[in-house]
Amino acid sequence: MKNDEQIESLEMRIAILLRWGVVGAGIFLACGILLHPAMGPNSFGSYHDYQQRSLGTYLSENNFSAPLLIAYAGLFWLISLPLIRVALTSFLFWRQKEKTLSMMALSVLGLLLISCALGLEI
Amino acid sequence: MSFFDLTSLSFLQIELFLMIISIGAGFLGALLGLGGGIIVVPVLTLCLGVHIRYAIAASLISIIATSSGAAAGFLKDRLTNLRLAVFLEVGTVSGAIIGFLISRWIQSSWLFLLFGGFLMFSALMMLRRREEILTTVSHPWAQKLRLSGDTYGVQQVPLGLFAMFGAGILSALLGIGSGIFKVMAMDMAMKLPMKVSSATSNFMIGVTASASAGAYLLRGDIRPEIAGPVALGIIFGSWIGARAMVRMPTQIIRQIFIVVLCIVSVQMIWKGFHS
Repeated sequence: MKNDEQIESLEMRIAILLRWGVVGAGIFLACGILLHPAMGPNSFGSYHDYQQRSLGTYLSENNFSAPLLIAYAGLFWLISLPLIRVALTSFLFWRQKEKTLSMMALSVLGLLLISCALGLEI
Repeated sequence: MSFFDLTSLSFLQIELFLMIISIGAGFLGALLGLGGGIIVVPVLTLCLGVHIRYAIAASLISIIATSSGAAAGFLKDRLTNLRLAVFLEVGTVSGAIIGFLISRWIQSSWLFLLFGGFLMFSALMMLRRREEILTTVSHPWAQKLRLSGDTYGVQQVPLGLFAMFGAGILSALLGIGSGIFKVMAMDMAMKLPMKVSSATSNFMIGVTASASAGAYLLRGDIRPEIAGPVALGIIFGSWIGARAMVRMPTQIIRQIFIVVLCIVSVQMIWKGFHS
């Protein structure tokens, strides 16, 4: 089971990388929120009702403001962390000659990318 | 309608308020072994009047943050069945895709009803006594893919995969990690030891949440003004909760929380019928 121990050890390194990734994403999010220009007192009231607007529409309505872009960069970074984990896991299994599991991880990555694309308005 | 009227507060005051509430949610979640979503979504919707679709989307972000941040901890104890996690993620991610597609068409009132039902189910699961029935016999798929552990077998693999598919649908629909369903599937159907089920489930939760979070983000449902303080607060609260756990009377808190879960469940169901 030396193979399994090696995989676990490498996976642990990936997990530590993820932890720092969360810290980085958190910093971007915090900066974006803190730099956000002061909104009117009723700004939060707009979240009582649901208005479907794509990300692009929302950003253009806010003139692609830098703080908003920074905050969204943090969100993209955060959401990409599990995808990165799965991609690295697939590579890990491939290196350890576990081709079936590697393909399985790769298919999970493919499904994740498809699911993200579902949010795009065509 | 909400318990707190935030419209008179400034933007930064609102963000601070959200973060404080989320710290509490993360703290409680860590103490009770529950994810943030089960607390965050009812608080955002019932107490703060945030629309449930924005609340669900924000909750998914907090799940990714806590899961990714804690992954090293899950692996350190060497309880996580990594091979099984990769295999089952095929089910959860597929389910999450379906869940997101359903969320486009489902009415918000149904989301409240589903969430209320899920809270009641969670309360019942917290009451149940867990009995471990371990086996060293494995399903042929588990043998072929070497999914079994050193001291346990993995049974009913197709059933487990199907259960993960269902857990993925709920994760995307309700903004939860579905850990409670995953643990139940691995424990009762696949006959894994409880600690292995919990560790493996926690390891998978972030991937499940990210499956729909990306779509919600592009659809514009994830707003940094809500998701940001919620995610940051939950990470911090979970960190404190994990350290405070040994000193807290967890059993008493657990019993109080079961009662609170039942009350909130009734409120969510009531809101579902009347919205």
